[in-house]
Amino acid sequence: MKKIILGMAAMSFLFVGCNNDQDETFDEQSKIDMSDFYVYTDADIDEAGRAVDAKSCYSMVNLNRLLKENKGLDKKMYDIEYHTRSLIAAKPGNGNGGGNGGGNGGGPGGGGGEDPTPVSGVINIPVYVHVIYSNSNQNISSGQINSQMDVLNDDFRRTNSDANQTPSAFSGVAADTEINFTLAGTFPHADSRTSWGTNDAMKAAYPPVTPETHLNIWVCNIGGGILGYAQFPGGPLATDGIVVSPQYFGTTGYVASPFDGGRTATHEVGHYLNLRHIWGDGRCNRDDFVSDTPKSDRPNYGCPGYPTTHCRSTDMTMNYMDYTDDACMNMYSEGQKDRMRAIFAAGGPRDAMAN
Amino acid sequence: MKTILILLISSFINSCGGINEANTIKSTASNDDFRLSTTASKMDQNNIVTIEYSAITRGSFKEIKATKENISFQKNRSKQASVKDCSEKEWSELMVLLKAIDLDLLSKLEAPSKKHQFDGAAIASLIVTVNEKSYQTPSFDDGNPPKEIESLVKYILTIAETVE
Repeated sequence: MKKIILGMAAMSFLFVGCNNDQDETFDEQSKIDMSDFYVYTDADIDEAGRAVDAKSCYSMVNLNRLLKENKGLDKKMYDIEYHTRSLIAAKPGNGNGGGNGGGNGGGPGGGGGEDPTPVSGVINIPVYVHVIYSNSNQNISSGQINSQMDVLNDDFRRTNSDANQTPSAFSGVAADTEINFTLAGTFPHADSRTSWGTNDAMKAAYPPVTPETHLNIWVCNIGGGILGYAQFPGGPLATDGIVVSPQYFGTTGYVASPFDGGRTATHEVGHYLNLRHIWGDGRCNRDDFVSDTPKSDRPNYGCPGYPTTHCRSTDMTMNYMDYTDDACMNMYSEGQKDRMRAIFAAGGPRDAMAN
Repeated sequence: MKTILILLISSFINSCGGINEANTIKSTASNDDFRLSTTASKMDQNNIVTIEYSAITRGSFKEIKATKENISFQKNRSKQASVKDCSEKEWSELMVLLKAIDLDLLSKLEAPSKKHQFDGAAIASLIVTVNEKSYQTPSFDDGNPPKEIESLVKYILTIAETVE
């Protein structure tokens, strides 16, 4: 016991030693651990980067890197991440135990003045759908659009009919995110272009409508094996929203198996609300910044058996942020819920949507 | 108890950059002769070398494997790969391009773009195996490899087109 206390004391002494030539803003930030955050960096690179100057703490090296490279966007994403972590750290009962979710969401009512407070209650997101078509199949019906809206609402409110497929090891953290979607309008556009790629050409041709307050979804043929793609919060407003190819949008009409369950849009909206891929886009040491989703070093495909083990833990292959087939995903976690909802809080990148 | 203490302290040292591997990286990166000779020595004699390039999305799959004997190209996760013989000329060109790359730095390359993080590009990676030992790049966007491996990736994709 004594040794632990001694160890702790030594630790805190060392921490001071490490922090003492940083100015106050960095000290402030060191209260929220940002050391694992990455935007355009990779863990292995960071490893090398931090060793360059043995005196610097990891988070500082990383922040300096972020500020140096690609200034605008990376700084913005860093700030969003910092804001998100402050909110989650302040949440009562927040522990990294990963255990019993259940939580009634919402969070504490009126917190204190300066600390960011989570938004309570159900958040409704109005949605505009831009349908860009070069043939009659791609000019999808309102029935197909509505079927996608139903899937979004079921998946984000955990009223999906396959919720009972979540294994018991994970059902405790499966979440009703208390985020709703309402179709606010559809814009059909006939266009001779047959494939649109992932360089946002569809957004330049048909710009988003009030992206500050509305989720814009472009439904058009992307091509190149891409089912859909998104943009993280903090990116340019002119390209804010998600894109999904018509065959993978909704559950009826012009849809193609095994991506005919509307889960491509569920996954892309997850990115749009700041979620990362569940395997963290890297090896075991790379996280998705959510504590109740197990670490993994790869995406899973198809309908994997249970348990599927990577990085010495069971993968949450049925999470919407994995790469499994529509029929084999059925949950967001409580940690993902907190992360998504943080962006709606005052000072967050989508606060205009919730207020 | 002691182990806990040691663990705590060593994890702290890690987080504060106590391990200095930058020097090794710098010296290998800045010394061309050394770099070439180390990679070349790995390829010497009759070592078994495999070069694999893969690019995958949730809905697509592409994997190319090249050995001295043959080149295989799998275009679909549920279908078998097509295979053709690897010509002497193709293999020697692959070896020339490979020897220009420091295998020990492969895992430290940085992707010039990260669109795969939000599904805007297929997740690509290059794996080189020399006698059971594998060297793998971090994930990068298909179509935009790190410049250090650009020529090799381009050539692999070119010969893949000739399979079938």
